[in-house]
Amino acid sequence: MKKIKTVKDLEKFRDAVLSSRNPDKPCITICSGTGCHAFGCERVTQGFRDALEMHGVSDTIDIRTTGCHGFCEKGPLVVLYPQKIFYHGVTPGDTAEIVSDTLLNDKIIDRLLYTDPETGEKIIKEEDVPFYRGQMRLIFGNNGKIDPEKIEDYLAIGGYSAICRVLSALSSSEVIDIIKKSGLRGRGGGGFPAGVKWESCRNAPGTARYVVCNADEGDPGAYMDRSLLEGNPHCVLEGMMIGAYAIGSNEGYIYVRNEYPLAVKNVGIAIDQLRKLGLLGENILNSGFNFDIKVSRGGGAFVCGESTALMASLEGQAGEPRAKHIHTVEKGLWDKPTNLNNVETWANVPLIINRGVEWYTSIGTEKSKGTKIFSLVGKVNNTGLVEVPMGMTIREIVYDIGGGIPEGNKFKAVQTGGPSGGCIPESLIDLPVDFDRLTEVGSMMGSGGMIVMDEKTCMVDIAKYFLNFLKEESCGKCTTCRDGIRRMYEILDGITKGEGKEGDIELLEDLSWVVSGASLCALGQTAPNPVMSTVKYFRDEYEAHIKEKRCPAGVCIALISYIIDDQKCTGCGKCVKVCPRSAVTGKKKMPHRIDPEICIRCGACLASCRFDAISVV
Amino acid sequence: MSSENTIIINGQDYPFNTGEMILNVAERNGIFIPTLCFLKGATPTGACRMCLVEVEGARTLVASCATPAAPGMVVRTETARVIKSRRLNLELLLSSGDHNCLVRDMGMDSWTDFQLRAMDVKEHQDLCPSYGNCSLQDLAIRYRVKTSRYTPTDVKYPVENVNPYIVRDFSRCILCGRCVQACNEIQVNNAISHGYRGSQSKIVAKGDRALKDSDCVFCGECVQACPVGALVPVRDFSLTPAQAETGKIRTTCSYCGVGCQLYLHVRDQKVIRVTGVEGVEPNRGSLCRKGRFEFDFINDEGRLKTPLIKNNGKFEEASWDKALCMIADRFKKIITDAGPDSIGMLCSANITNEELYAAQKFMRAAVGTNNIDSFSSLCDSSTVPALTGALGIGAMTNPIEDIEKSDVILIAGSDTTDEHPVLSSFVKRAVAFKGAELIVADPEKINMTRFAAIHLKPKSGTDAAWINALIHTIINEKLYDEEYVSSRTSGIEELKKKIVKYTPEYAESVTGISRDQLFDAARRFAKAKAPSIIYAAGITRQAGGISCVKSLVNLAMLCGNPGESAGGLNPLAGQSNCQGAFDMGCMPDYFSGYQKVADESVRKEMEKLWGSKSLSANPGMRAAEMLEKAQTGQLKALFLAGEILNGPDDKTKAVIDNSNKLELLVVQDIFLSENASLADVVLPAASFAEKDGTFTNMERSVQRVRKSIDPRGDARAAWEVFCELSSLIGYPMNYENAEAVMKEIANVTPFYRGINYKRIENNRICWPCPDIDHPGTPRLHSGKFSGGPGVFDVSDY
Ligand SMILES: Cc1cc2nc3c(=O)[nH]c(=O)nc-3n(C[C@H](O)[C@H](O)[C@H](O)COP(=O)(O)O)c2cc1C
Ligand code: SF4
Ligand code: SF4
Ligand code: SF4
Ligand code: FES
Repeated sequence: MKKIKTVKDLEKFRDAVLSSRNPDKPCITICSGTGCHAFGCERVTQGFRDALEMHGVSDTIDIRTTGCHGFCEKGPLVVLYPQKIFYHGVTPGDTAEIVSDTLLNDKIIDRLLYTDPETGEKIIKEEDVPFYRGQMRLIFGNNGKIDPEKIEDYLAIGGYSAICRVLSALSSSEVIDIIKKSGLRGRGGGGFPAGVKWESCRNAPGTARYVVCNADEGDPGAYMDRSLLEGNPHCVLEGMMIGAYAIGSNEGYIYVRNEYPLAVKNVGIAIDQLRKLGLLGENILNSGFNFDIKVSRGGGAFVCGESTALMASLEGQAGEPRAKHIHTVEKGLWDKPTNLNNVETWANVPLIINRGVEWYTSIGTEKSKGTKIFSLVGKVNNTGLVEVPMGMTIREIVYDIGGGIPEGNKFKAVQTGGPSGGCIPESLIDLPVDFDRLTEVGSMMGSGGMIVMDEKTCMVDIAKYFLNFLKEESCGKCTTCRDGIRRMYEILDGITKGEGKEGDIELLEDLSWVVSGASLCALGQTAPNPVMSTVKYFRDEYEAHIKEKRCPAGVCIALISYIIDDQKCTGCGKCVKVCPRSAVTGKKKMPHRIDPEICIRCGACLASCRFDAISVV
Repeated sequence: MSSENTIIINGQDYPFNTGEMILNVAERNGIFIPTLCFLKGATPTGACRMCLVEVEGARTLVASCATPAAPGMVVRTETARVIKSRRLNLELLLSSGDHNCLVRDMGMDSWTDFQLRAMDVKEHQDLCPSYGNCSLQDLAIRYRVKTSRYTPTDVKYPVENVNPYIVRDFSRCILCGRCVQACNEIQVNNAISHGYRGSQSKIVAKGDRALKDSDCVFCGECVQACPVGALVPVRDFSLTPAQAETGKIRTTCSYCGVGCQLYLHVRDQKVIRVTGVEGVEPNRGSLCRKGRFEFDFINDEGRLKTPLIKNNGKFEEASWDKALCMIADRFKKIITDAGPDSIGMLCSANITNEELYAAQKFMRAAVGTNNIDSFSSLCDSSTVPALTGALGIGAMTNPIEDIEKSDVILIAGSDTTDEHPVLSSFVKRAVAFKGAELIVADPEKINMTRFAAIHLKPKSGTDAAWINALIHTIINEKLYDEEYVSSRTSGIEELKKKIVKYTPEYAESVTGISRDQLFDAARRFAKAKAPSIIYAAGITRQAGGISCVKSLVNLAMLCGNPGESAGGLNPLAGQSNCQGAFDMGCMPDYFSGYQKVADESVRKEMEKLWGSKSLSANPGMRAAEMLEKAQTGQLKALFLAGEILNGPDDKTKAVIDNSNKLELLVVQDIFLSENASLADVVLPAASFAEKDGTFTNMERSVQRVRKSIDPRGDARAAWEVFCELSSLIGYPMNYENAEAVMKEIANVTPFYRGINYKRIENNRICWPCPDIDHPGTPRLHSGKFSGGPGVFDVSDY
């Protein structure tokens, strides 16, 4: 590759890429994100290659393996350009047919189309799929358009024009000004205004400064940062370059979890390409700006995502939070001013530069601008990564994009913000989702996890689940977090086992108060959220467990019994066959009975009964 | 008061220094804030969350130990919110382990259950050995905290009782991390760290092994730092509270020349524990393994308790009267027959100044000879002459604390971590936390090299050559401090001439150190702002010791550091009172305070002060000479005085053997040592714990030694013995107590004139201290050298 020395060189290079490409040339894009990987997208890709070969059309039809498209549960996903025909659940066996029928003969294959579960209608185009229709995929949308290993693809969609503009036309303070005015807030959880952070870092005394990208993403179930890095590493790198220029840094780090090998690989390839092109290194685009980025692999504890722990880990020390009496923007990595932003935060930066403050601020709510990527999971029909403008309501996300609750069950709550987020009840379903609203109701944006729960979810059990995670992930350094979370977990565990006692709720409240108020880092400070929010919105459920020894959702094994309604039972004996412990007895054609002493509450009988005779009490 | 650097605590204005934490300001002003994890001298970790206070405008409570005071900040230390948080926090801590001292509120049944459970742990005592000496207990009482709301926590890790000295009882650990900081940030032994996460958290040593299998050196810094009963001395682990100490007495450690300040905790006339005195120089609470744990020799049953007289090759117990009369008679006879110069005395260098002073006075004024020397001259006979010659005073130029402020430290011939562990931590901290560079010159790969930027490995005995090579490079490359050299020294031209042959190439061939390393070391040393040179026995004990020391002096003067605020030239004295032995005139050629015996006016003055007959002008014998003449029979009587041994396991080699031709050998010691077993008369000595007095440490600070228990049996301090002997010989010597001896020392010794027990009650004074209002001189040669311009004196390798 020839070095790109000036902005002109870059534009020339881009033109060359574009002119070599025909936008109307058919292209098969195959999602190769981690989700689709698991579904075997590699074999699908090979299938397409073979089919094209067989038909002798390898030259006239392109294949592109892209990053995650978000709708992972339906993978492997394939989109055929230029018509944008959307096929899901594609198997290697389908590929020959797709080539011969759809690509060569314009025939749509019905069975691979997405069916709207509401209307039963078959949908052809990706953008018409309800899951995508309601989204605003400013950041994430490009994942489907580019091959992350090809910088040309990124350039073809206008990549690196923001850095060109910045280096050739803007001073560092102008850049900071733009970011400040854009209202961009940190997507890593805290929602701290990025421009303000940049400015403090820039103004901190010292010569060396660092910019760091937080790609630790340790929330179980969240994978947007990882998918972005995997699918579009260049947009993150461009964001970091712009940030480094604005802050006056020559050295950047990407702290990425070792468990994300594809992200490590793709970002590594992207950095290599940039170095080879001269877009990282000395005197970038002849502007006098020097910058390079290193990738550092994190050890994998959840707490390592916390800023001070992350920096300690980057320095090669134990990844434990430190007392932060001096902000890391002043004394961070190796005690030098350091600006840490989340992957998604960085990815927003080129967009803001390219499209302008006015446009950007038109999206979102008053104090939360732009879009946010959520990981929508749980009891919802469509799961996956969704990008929506800030301020979209929970209802819109769950019902319009998520397609509602499966099996016609009732929505109960949504838990946002990762393990230390809170549960938001049905009564708040029309809450516009942004940083401040979520905090107001006792939850948080966090990393953007969104777990939908239906009526069959026990809120005490849910709180216990998260606290169990947090108690193991607390670094164990400070008292309130280490011992407080453990105690909260023990109390919740007791409650779910029917050992709850008078005063437990008050003790949980006391503990929540002290853990959130006295802990050293945000892990501890937010850890009580799952407890506090469920106690607040579902106190009656706690009381039922404690006072009546009853689990209203029918989840807590110690508190439930399976009973057979003798009015409904036909004595078919199906349940007798499935019960692993032979707890069900009864004469043929006579109502059966479950022995509560033997029953292990596995629920197999309930699932097997065709007469709706078994229920949980 | 300007609001600029003022904060408001509980409604009152308090000034603060920039960067000072809220906790410091509060403590300085007597405002109590509870802490558990805060460790002075280490970076605040903010781990225990006990010190939280309310700060107006802050979202949450803030940790006062880790939050710097800011102008106009409004702090409240005891609001309802703060107290609630402290109580909840304490409740968590108390219920997190076997803190059974305070769980009596659990109701009778569960208390019993709990106690049973607590005792279930192997080797666990029913009550915590730290009962009554535990920060957690104190705070729990203060805040009336109970633990009944929680079920007792299962003990996760068993007691570790396999180590020498230290028991680790994890069931009582509150994970405050003070031990980790003590080990890593204070002693820099890096033996322990935080291990595991969350509820599995544990303090671990090297991949979770027992301390004995880790890098632990058993300094016990962690034990002293532990606020609860999780780290306890083995001895204490089996004590019940009823056997607790009845008092603690501050004194000075008798092991090495650092002179650590420590407390002897006593009960029933026994020393049962030793702890460091926090917040005072030179050790700031730190001690080493020996100082902290090896005090059994004091209580040892094998101590000498009565005088012994050898009769037909066998010792027989005797009264003091009998023994002393016998010695006096024999001395008198020898004086008459062979002259006073056929009697000699050697004092150990770990007896008090008072004893040493009395010894030389006895020899000079009563016996009439200058045959007085100390054991310290056996290990370092170079420093005093070399330094006195060049700089005017033969002692460490700077206080120990200055080492930590140095930016380049050169250690030569000192296995510092082993021989002077507490001092070595100053070096280690400088390197680990203050960015100092360390150059170690030692034939062996000593522990200190782990911290070194450069390790010079000279062939043994070739030190002067590499030192001169450094000087050669520094002169050659004009790296020396010209201003300093021209204004404060003489002889530079001479030095330049003589040094020519010590090219790094030449030195390489002699020492085996590569020339590149020599260049590198020279340049690094020369560019330092505050270089410090540390040397010890490895240099002074070798054949050409004095040339080595002279070369080190030259190096120091070239780079302009003696007399500067950090750095300096620092010989490390081996024994607790080496410096005192020199200072007190336990040398054949000097009276106390380096007043020359050869100088007639000095002698006349002494005669007047002492009211003695005319003092001998004959130069006395050095230690080595005395020992030699003992073999030939030219010396008739020898008195070995003091606490020659440190303990039964740490025998210094006997200085004398069976083939001696002495008519009389007297040994005063605390044990029947090898030396003592050869003696004709053995006198029982009081150990350092059993007598009053002073030691002068290597940095010239005079510190108190205090009697904390009665002497074993009939043991006596040496000064008392000399007084009686002297009177018996015909020169009456009487002092009411050790303090009176110090009064006389001050009176006859210009350097010590301003020193008395009252002034050094709590704080050391470094000599020279010429009068009662003088603050002492921790740093020598500031502005100019004490003995006129510094003199470059080259001795060849
Ligand atoms: C326990 C814990 C885990 C965190 N994990 C992450 C993470 O995985 N990724 C991330 O970007 N931020 C994480 N954060 C937030 C970071 O501390 C930090 O606020 C963020 O990276 C700053 O970037 P932003 O301003 O762009 O959000 C975590 C915080 C805590 C307390
Ligand atoms: S709050 Fe938890 S994770 Fe954070 S420092 Fe304290 S113990 Fe560690
Ligand atoms: S005894 Fe000393 S070396 Fe050993 S763990 Fe404790 S502080 Fe560290
Ligand atoms: S052993 Fe003692 S000092 Fe160390 S963490 Fe535990 S309680 Fe703190
Ligand atoms: S003393 Fe401040 S947090 Fe422990």
